[in-house]
Amino acid sequence: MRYVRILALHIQDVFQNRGRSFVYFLMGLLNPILQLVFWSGAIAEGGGNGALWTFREMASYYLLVTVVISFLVVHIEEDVAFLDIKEGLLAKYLLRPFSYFISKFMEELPWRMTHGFFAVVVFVAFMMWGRISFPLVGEPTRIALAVVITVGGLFISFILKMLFGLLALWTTDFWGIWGVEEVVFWLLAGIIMPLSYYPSALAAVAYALPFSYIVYFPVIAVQGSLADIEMIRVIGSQLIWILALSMLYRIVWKKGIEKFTAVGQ
Amino acid sequence: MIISINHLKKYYKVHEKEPGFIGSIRSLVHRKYRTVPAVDDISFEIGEGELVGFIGPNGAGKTTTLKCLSGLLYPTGGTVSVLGFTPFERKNAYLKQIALVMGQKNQLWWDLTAVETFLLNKEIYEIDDGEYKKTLHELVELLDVESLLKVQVRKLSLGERMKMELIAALIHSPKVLFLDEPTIGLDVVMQKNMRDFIRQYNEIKRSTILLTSHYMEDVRQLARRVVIIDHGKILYDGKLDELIKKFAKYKVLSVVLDEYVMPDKLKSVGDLVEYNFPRAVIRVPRSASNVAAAQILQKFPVDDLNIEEPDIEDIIRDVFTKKT
Repeated sequence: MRYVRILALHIQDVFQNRGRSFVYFLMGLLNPILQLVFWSGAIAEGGGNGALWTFREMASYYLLVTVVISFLVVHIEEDVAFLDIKEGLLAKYLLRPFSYFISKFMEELPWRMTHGFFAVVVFVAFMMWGRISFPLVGEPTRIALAVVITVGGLFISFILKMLFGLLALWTTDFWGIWGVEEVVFWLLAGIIMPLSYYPSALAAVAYALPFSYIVYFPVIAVQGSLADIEMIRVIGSQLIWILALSMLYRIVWKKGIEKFTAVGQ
Repeated sequence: MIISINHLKKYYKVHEKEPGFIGSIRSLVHRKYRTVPAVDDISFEIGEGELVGFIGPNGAGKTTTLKCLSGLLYPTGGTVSVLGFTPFERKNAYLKQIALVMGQKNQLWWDLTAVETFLLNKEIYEIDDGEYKKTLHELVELLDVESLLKVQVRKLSLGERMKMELIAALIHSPKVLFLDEPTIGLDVVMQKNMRDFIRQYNEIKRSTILLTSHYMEDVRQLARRVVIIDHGKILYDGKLDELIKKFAKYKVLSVVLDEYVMPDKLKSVGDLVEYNFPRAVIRVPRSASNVAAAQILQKFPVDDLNIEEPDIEDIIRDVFTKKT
């Protein structure tokens, strides 16, 4: 109950910032819409020939990418690096008898919930307005597996972004790392296009890295494009990533915190 | 002892770059680093319930010491013990018993009322409902902020916000309190309120308090003991009045004259620091102050005469510049 009460307090804070939350959400909406426009043109130009997916499937993919990004793609690394480490706000957390990791998760979760809510509204509005029924996972067991994959994606996203943020403890200028991380993430998470469209070598790299388990696999799981056995395999891979990243986080945190100078505080 | 510091050292590695474009190119290839001792082999102890003033110029090592004591920084060398804990291990049992308040640093939620931050701290410090209500009531009374509890933090003035910061920091009734410039940026009235609060809190709760401040008035009014630090080394540790006796080798005679006297005549008694008829300020050796006062009364038409200790700021400045 203690954690629920802390989360409820953080939700109140995000509610106060609902305007900012909506603007952030709109910024995230831009890319999927542009991609959708591009692909609708490309598929129409080709007369539908040669395309792996139909327009309906492609529209479903990009709208679900919007929903999944809103729910799962965490931006905590910016807070960790620029505010907590560079401006010294980490001192506030270190003085509390409460885990920094959990504090940040509690701060981030309400943002994901509000962005996700906005995205679901857009998704439903698009379906109703366009009178399109998108392919979505149907049976209860497969829905449950898709939910597990989605939650797994959130955990991977959070731990990974926390790790990236902590790199600011070793660097004077975090902007470079942040830029590279953004590009790699966009390329390998399946945000630009479905990974099945990638050349096989690049797709293999993307499947082997954790980014695809944050966006691509949750999207196609919710779409219903994964067989049962593939869903279980994805969950297994997510668990391995969560364990590996958690262990790495503990090491990085332990080493990094010795370098923290609480500058400006 | 509640706080015990033995040969504490904290060194920082600082990147040095030569000025200009060539310097930037060189810095890309080969970076030069310099080790800066922020705290250099200091030792002192503080007993239960003591309120100690920790003073020094900018960059002296005050805040670094407080950060080491509160567990924010890993020392480069030496040992630190607070309440029997090693601070940088940051055990929850330790963190629940201390608080570090830094002037103008914010832990309050900006867009909510301060009460929401108090409630967050209640959960974080696992304070039960009864204890929380009792402590909050006490602090609200002491700081007189009842009417501000439902106001959004961003709408509060700096002084009001500082009071709320104090409540947030003290809601778990810490046994040890580190105050880093608690009155910085506040107007004189608010500074006095803050000092009154710190004094009362120390008396009521018997908390051990280590206070840094640039305002000597804070130190004079609150601390009987002072630790003076400069360039990472302790220059003085003892009672404030003994500091005056030890380092102030002169006294100040403040004279109000009935009639104008030539400055040269006044200079025959001691150093004429200030002369703006009818008021004159003369500095004399501490041991000769009574004789000098008698001379003034005999030689000149005096309306009033006071023998005063020099200003504490002057004494401390002398300690820093090693003039004494």
